[in-house]
Amino acid sequence: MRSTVDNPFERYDLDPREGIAAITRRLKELAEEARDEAERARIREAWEELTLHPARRLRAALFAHPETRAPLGTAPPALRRRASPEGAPGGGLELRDLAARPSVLDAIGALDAPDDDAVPSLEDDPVLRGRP
Amino acid sequence: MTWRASDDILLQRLEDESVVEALFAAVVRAGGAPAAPGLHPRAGGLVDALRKIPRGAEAVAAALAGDVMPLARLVDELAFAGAPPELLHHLALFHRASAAALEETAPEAAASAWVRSLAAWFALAEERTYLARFEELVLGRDAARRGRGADAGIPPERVPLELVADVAARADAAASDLGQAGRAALLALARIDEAARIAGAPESAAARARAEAERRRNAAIEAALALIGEGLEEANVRGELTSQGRALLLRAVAVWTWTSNDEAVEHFVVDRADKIGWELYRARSWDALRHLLDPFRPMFDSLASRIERDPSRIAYAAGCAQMFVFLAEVDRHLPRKLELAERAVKICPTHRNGRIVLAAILCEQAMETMRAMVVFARRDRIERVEALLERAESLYASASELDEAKDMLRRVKRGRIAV
Amino acid sequence: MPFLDRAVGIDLGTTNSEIAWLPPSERDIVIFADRFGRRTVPSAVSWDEKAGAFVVGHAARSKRGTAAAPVESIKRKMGQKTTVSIGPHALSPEEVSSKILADLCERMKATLADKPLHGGGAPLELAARRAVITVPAYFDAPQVEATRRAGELAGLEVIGILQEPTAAAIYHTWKRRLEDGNFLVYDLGGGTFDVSILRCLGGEYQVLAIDGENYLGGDDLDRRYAEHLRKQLVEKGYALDLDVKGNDDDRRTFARLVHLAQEIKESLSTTDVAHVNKSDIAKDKAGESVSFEGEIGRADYEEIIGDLVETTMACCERALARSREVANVGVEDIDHVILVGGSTRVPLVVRRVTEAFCRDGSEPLRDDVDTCVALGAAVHAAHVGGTILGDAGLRVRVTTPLVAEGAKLRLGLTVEEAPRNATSIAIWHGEHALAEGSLGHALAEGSPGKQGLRFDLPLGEAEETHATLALQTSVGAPVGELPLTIHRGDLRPRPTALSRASVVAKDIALEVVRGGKRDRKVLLARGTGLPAQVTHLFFTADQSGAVVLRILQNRLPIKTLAVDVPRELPVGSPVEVVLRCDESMRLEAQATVGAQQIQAHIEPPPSPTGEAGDVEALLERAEKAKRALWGVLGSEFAREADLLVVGIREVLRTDPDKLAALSERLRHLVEEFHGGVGEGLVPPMARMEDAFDTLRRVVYRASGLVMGMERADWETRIDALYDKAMEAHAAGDGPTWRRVYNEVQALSETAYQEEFSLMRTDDPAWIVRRTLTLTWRAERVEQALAELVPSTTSEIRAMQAAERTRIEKWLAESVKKPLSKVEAVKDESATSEQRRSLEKVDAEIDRIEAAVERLPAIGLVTDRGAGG
Repeated sequence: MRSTVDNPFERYDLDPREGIAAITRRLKELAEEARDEAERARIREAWEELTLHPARRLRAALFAHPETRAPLGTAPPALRRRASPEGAPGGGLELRDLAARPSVLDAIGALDAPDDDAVPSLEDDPVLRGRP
Repeated sequence: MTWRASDDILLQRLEDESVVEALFAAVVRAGGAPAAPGLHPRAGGLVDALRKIPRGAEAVAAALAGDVMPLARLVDELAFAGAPPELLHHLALFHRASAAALEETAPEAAASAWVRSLAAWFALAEERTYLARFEELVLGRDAARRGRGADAGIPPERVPLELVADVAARADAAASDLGQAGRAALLALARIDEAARIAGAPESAAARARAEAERRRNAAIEAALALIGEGLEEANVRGELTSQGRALLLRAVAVWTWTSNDEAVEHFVVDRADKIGWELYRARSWDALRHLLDPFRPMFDSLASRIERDPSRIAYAAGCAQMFVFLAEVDRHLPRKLELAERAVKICPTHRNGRIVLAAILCEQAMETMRAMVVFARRDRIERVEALLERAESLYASASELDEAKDMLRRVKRGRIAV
Repeated sequence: MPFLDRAVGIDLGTTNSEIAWLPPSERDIVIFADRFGRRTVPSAVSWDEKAGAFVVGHAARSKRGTAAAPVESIKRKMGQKTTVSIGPHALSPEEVSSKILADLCERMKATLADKPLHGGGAPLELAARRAVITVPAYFDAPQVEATRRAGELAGLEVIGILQEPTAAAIYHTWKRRLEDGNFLVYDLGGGTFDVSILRCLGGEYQVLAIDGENYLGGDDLDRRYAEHLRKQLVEKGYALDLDVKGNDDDRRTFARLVHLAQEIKESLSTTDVAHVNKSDIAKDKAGESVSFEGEIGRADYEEIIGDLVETTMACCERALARSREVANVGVEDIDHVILVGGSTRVPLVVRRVTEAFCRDGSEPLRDDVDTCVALGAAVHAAHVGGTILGDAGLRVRVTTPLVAEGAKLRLGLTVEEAPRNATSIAIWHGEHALAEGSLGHALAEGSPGKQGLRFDLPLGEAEETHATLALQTSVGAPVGELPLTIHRGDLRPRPTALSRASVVAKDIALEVVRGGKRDRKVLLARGTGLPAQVTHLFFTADQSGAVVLRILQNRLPIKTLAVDVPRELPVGSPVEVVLRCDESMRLEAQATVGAQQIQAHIEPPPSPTGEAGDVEALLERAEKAKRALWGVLGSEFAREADLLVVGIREVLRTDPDKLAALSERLRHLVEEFHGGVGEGLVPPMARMEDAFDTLRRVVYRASGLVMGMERADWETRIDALYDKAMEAHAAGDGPTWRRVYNEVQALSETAYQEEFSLMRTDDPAWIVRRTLTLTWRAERVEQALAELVPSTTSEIRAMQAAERTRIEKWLAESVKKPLSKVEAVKDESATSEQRRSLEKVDAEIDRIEAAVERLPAIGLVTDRGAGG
């Protein structure tokens, strides 16, 4: 079911904060690999939507879930309370439920970095920096 | 492989994604929609933000254990004042997604979701630091150019208007098929004040949004009615207004429902029925006139009540009164006729036709009363007839029935029988 | 012999044309140059009587002023239904252009034959059978289509039409390796002026705005100065009273002066003062030989042509205003100004453009002003056309560049023709297979060319890798081999899949009806990137038995589609219109009404000759006037104007005399009704003020309470409404504005009830007046019907005729007959019956007028009801 709140940033998994150069690079790749002309036309439209007028880009960004989660590869700000094994009954999550999620694949890609624990510090996270 | 501190972040992300989807599914199901579309993984940020507010961690833990209700309640009852901007932003989008998922199957629930989303936008609009930073990050080079007077960004006070426009676009899109999504949108656009109240938004912000919502709402309704107008125009030039007009105008009933009984639809019907009504009236097609007006009685009642409740609504009083005059004229039952004519004169005391018709009916009633006086006329009855005729005369002194009735009264007073 | 085919880029200019080709190594662009090193070929065609053949280029231009004078500036006539004679032939503009194109291709073929380019040592034919041809951005569909046809007539496969400014920007970004930036391309060619605002983003293009003048170019500067020279010569006593339009000799004489003006222009581009000493320029009317001697200062020259340059600056300002609107790019955001076209050598142009658009002391880019369009077109052609490698029975299209930046190359290819038994493809470098892949089902099903294949080729350090592309059978036996050379180098920025090659030059709109009046709904706005596809939902607005879709370019119709539908089809039935426009502005429309669907390729009609621009401007003014007028005034205007507008469009290409007459009447009408009203809201402010005045008067006249309210209360209420109206006006809020207007009218109506009860309507004087008015209205309807210009589309003409007959009968029965009866009655006692009769006639004539007004709009759809 296609969502009626379709957003180009979310559809092509783009982070609004990355800027138009990155948006263009990513969509260019997608367009070149597109299966057919219709798909390419959709990508082209998204590119125009996101790069033509800054106000349109900002509008689309406002309507896309912002990345506010702690960046991957860092320690959590405070050690998280782990769910106890007996507290996870049948309705809870098992790892195999999660195995196929795209975000896992994403995350694994991100973990390809040579030193897992040494990647970006919190200071580099723009959203956290922006907080008072 | 050992478990590292950084793996906690990864696991938490995965948990957050699953929790937000479960929450979303629960909300959508509760609203009555069959299935929820997927959310972007970044929507998990909502759960991350909820963990950080009081009672948040517990509710998330419960959701992880399979019970999303505490979390759903937390989201519903959340006070926007003092909520962190990230949370507001996620919430605004979460409710927007819920509304979109519900709009086709459960318009009322969708409207409520729109209102909550709008409330979150109102609250977010006050978070100037967050929005300024957000804009800077998204616009990059363009933001730097803003210094030169270009209007690249969206000023914070316009942020709620973006959602109003988004909702209104749905109303517009449904104007031709009167779809449920449009109904939900129109309902939501009429509830701006409620959203502003929930958010504790300043009056200036509420007023701006209200004006925009009203304008967009009016435009959507205008579009829905336009097609009927075109059809009537065409029937008019083809000389088929009397035969086709009713069928065309009937669509307004559906529009009225779609707009949840909007007054503009009532105005439209009164205006158009007037023209068709007079054609039928001139042709003395009483049955057709009754047939024309019948489906719209609830609209006339509604409009009349609005006028009675609120004297400032008198603009449409004359038009509405004419509808009651028509109804009175085609009714065969005297007490109902009287009631209808009285209503016409009540909402528009100076209405010429209303006064003429009411005067005639009063005379009619007086004569009926007199005809019922078999041998002796009782004093109270006579007084009543006198009162009726006095009122008829005050309404329209030159009513043709008045002379006849007065004549009859004179005869009755002289002790003769009425007829 | 195996061949390598890469498309060429051709700039088919008004004065000169160029052709260029980007070789697979992509290091330098090959541009044709003759043995004197001249890179431009004059766009001139003449007839060589002796050889019995057409002559193109310098050879043709040198025949100027002789009996075999060449045809020049044919680009200005592209798309027109006309012919020019060259020797014994009468050729259409596209035929003339095809001669130039064929000649350019021959020259390029010869140039390529000399190129030492071989695939791994094996001989390889370099072919250029495909082409991208450039057009001014301001060219519209007929002109673009004619250009494409010219290419086809020349035996070329036209793989794309590219707009000249975009081509120029592509060349500059390619040459200077500019990845990002905003460009203003100022292209003053021989015959046209174009300005485009473009943005380059990671090598991709966005056209943000275009503007220009179809009929303004360097030739106009020359003609302007030639006229100045002529006047000077007349002052010196020469008999040079020339009739350029009607006399061939005079035209030739003037052409000599134009030529002189051109030389002066060129001279003044490099020096401040031009010394002219020319004798025997031509013979004057008295047969005397004309000579000219003198010094011409640059400042004097600039004064003569200054206003023409200012016209181009105004176009630039308009384009910048538009680019600010669509992309927030204003003059302060322009990073590079590119000058294109020989006429940009005029120092005044450079100075004005630099002053107005260059930031911080920077200067416009002026590389290769004559050839940059062809060069850019070559870069674009290489991208869109790819590289076709082929041999007998074998054809493979490589869709990605053959240049690798690193040790790897991602190669995309499509097998378009191969032996039946080929099942796989391999790329060999000596004994090593660089890549292998299956051909899949594409070939087996006999539909080659659909499925794209992708290979990652590992490459060595060599500058060039001579590989072999082999098609193999299932057991690996080669059944076809092609040489494939891969180059190491840097891949320069160039547009790929995200960019659009061109933009719509003029609005493409659909004629719709709104409230019974014709109107225009823009489907593709000028500047929309191509290819584009839009879907719009409309609704039937009448029961005429047909749906008429009239597609307009700006304000002139270019195609009318009529779909027969059942008469029972109710008003408001949806009509879906899909409009597609490809890169070369070829339009295709598809309409769906219920179960019926029709599709039409829109063959653009020939460009109207003569003062088409004036007619368009007039129609635009009429449309603006109609929007601004409202109510009774609006209906009155529309009633007359609509018939005239429709008439003008019908005779536009067929009857110049009638066109002039109708245009004149429309012009008067617009002036009469629309004295400078320029408001966006309907009803206009004046109508709103009138409505408030009426309401105030009604309330003021009333004694005591009106509708139970004191006068003071009424006044407060009216003031509040007035404030609301003004607020809506300030905010440009149409729906609220109309609501207030309706409310004010309804209020007047309500308040009026009190007065109405005292009114007498059967006064004999009133009846006489009414009768006269109604008779006059009936006469006006008859006149309008008589003046109706029938549609040129036969289905619509038939519908109009039927409707007209119906209206005439209706008028006779329901208006004229009862009116004559009323007039005949002299008995004063019958007034109430007369009054009723007149009321009826009044209602009928209202309807008849509405029906006449709808006559030109018969069958049109409406966009009301679709929201937005």
